[in-house]
Amino acid sequence: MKEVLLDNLFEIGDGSITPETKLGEIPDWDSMVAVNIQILLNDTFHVDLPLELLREDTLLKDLVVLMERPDKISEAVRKFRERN
Amino acid sequence: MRNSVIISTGSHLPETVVSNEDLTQFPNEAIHLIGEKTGVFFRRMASDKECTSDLAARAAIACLDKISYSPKTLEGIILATSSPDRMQPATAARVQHIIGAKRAFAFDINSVCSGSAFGIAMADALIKSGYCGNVLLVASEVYSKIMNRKDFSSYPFFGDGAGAVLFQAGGTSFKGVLHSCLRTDGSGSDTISVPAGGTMLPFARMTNSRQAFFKMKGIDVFNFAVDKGSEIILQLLKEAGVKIDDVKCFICHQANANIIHKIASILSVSTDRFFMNLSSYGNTAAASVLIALDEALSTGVVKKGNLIVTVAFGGGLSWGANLIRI
Repeated sequence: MKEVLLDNLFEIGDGSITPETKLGEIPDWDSMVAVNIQILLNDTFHVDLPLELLREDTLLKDLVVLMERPDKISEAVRKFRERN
Repeated sequence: MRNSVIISTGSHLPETVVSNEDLTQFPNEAIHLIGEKTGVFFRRMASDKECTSDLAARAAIACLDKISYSPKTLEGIILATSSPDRMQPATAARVQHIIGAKRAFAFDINSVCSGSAFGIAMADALIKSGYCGNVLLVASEVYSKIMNRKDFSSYPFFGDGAGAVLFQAGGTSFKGVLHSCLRTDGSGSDTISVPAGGTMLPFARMTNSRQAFFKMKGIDVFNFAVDKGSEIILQLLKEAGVKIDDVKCFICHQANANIIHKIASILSVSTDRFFMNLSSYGNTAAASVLIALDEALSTGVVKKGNLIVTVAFGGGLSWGANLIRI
């Protein structure tokens, strides 16, 4: 995941991305970049992640979990909607 | 002193219309963001066979034909583009050949989306200095071929197109280009760029295919455009001693409807006085102001005798504005 993001999206140093990094901490983060991440994850991992899970407070480690366990996406969406 | 008077304008937009919904490479749930974030709903796209000089030549011919002006009498051609046919030679050279302007010298300028402002100032300088009796300024862009079609942060905003303006030396100081302001801040040269393909990063040293495509830092560009776009208009009017209320129409670079609304708000000018056509054509980079000017004149929004301000901002970073009496 880290390599994919570093290679494809961000002009930041290797040490800047950790599992605790929030998407909102990515340079130039905005809702358009969120769509680019959605496309990238789909192209790379073939996982269709809803845009509502790609928020500025989403942690990269949470995305890793969903890439490894796409069956958890529906549950994550449900929890997100309950919280909001 | 003789002035540079606009005696004709023209434009050319490729036939193919692409709506936001046609951009099926993007997730359906994200499509609404394009209109919301930019005000762009359609754009034109050049065919596989068309390049920047083809669009430029058609805009140039439209401009000349409108007043039955022979291309053989042209003395100079300036082409503003940031999506040239090739690294070299100048795209303007092919335009000169296609339209049959055998007497005219021709060269490119690349001020990215500010190309119109810089081009108008250069055409004006060539005429005011006495070097030329006329200059054809053309701005042409085919961004669809320099962009990553999967980059949602840039691809949906842009469109292809070309505009042209014919300037001729006039005897009165009341008409034509009255004043120009140009600015550059090279510290922002990485904010908008096509990283690879030049001497800084030759294609052979690319580490990622994305480096061959246009990229921009969206939020930085938005803030820059709003700040500098409004600032340069005020500077232009101050230097020219003109009141903002005397300006009939502002023809702003058609980058983003929200940028134009913000600039209008800062200037306390009604958005109605800002000509907009970006919902139909998207951001056509250097060409946008000249296409808008041609449309504003052909639809009667701007008429002979009107005082207008053209303003543009873009890569470089660069920005500029021109005060023109039509």
